[in-house]
Amino acid sequence: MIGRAASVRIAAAGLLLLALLFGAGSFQLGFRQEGVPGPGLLPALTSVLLLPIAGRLLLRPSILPGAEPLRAAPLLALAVLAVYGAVLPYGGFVAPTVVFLVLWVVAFHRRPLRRAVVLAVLLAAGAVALFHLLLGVPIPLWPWHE
Amino acid sequence: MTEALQQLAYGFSLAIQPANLVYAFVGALLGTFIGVLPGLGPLTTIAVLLPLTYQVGDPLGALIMLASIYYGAMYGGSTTSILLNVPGEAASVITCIDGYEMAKQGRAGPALAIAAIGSFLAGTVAVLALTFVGPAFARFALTFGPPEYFALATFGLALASTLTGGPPLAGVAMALTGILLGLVGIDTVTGVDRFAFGVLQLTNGIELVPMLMGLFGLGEILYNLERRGAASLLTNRIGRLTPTRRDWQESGGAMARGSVIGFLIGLIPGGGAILAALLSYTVERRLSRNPEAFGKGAIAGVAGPESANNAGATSAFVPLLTLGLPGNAVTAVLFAALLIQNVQPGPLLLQQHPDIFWGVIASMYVGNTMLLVLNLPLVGLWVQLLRVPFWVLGPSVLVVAVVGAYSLRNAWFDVGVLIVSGAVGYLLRKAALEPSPLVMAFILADVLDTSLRQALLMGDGNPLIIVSRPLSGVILALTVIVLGLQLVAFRRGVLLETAPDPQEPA
Repeated sequence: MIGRAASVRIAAAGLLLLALLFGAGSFQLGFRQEGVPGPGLLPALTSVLLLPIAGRLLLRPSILPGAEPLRAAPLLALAVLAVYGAVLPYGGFVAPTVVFLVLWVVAFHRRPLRRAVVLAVLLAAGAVALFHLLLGVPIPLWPWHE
Repeated sequence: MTEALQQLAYGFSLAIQPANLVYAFVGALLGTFIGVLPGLGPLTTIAVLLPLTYQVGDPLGALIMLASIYYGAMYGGSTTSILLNVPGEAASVITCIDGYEMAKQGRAGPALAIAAIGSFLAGTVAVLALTFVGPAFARFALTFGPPEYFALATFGLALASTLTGGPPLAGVAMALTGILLGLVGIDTVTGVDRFAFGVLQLTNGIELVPMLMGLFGLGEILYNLERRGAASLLTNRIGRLTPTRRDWQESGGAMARGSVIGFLIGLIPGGGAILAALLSYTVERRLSRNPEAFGKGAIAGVAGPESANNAGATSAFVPLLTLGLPGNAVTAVLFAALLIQNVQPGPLLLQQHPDIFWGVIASMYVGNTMLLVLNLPLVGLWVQLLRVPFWVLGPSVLVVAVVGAYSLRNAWFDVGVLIVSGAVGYLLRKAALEPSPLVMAFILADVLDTSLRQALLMGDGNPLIIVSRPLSGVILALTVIVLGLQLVAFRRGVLLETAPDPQEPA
């Protein structure tokens, strides 16, 4: 578990990084081009406003009293989701989805394997029936589908 | 007035076409179906179901379906508020207070019925008003120039970011983040690539729909992974639905006042349903002969906020359709849906696409009626849906979100956007940063950027043009006042005191 102040600090660090990245980028884009306001103007103004707020949140996370600690299960679930997302383009929709759902239900919902398999197969089949067959979404179902 | 009625009749001729009636029915049914599932609010519902509307080729049909999903999801949100004490969205927090108390006393039936009837009446009143106010707004908006648009968008963002109930600073941070993310992609004025960092798929900007599904849908699922079993269904049987004569007497005035309050607040870009519901609740408590009953199951505490909520949801279509400025996160999604259908909301919409404008308004009447007819008899079914266990619900939403994200451009990249946004949504939620202002700002970033640069061009580079023009000057002054008042109010703890905690009824 990561404490509530750390939750705010992680979010604030993200905002700070975003402000720095976009702020630096806006200088490269330029504030004026051929006498007219340039594409870097609004990003620069916005970054300049965001920087001190992100800094304040980073230094004083207690100003967000509703913050909660980060728990292990959702973070682990995010890692599993990321792997699933990375495998999808190579493995097609069906097989990675069934494996992912079985893993998800067993690991994060603590359900028996048999129930997890039934749910995973039903959901994958339902999604294929609704989106692929009925609505015509050309989602590659298997690794050999383009 | 006659012209508006003629146009409305034209809208009805479109809305009651069999295909559009089917879209309205399917939208209302699906919206309620998903909206009633615990933990899925209207925004998540719309975001998850949005890809379904791509399959509807006709823009009017797609928008009718989306609007019906919206109303259905709002009603679904009320059901979870009353029976589970889980607000589907921020505005439903107010319904939780007395609705849940009524359910605890075995009066869930009248609470659900009054919520449905109040929503129907308020929606109808708001649609009637919209019929006449909408065209007037559109005519007025034609006089707006870039400085006025910049000022209005800034005003809307200021309101949206400070009315989240949390510290104004957090809302402002989210709005600024939304602006930055909304600027990714090719600059429409110069054609320069902005912040795409060499990623080809980002040159058209970050796709809104997978971002929304991630921020709200996936973020919600991840958040709920650690909160299993937190909510409990109070009642197996709803019992008698019909409100008593006393219920009617106590609710009638509240519904009427809630409709007016909701309609007026919804007209303001960024006004928001939570402000409408909160204001209505405060008014009802002040006007009541029995104010101590509020927080203990007063039916007026359900009727007023629910009516205000629904009227506000309808009148939020006024700034969306006539100014091209979404008033809240949900209308921001509808804005994106219109753009996907190649329809540009704004003052010219009425002239260029009268079929869309009047068809949608007429379909709101149809949708409201359909919801009432659908919801009261099916309330038993909705209650059963509240029992869907989270281990079935979460994975189902995940699968729909993944295929939905892919179907947008038939690209796996958007599934990546979905997952990254889900991680961001979870983190923001844990850090008590409300993502709605981010979404609004993301959508308004282009309007802000273009109008700021056009205004500066008009003023030969002098930013004072925005302040010196009467209308934009007044709007900017209002923005400063609103921000200042919110900051002061927050420092004094006023917001924290007035925003009730659903778990701790007042």
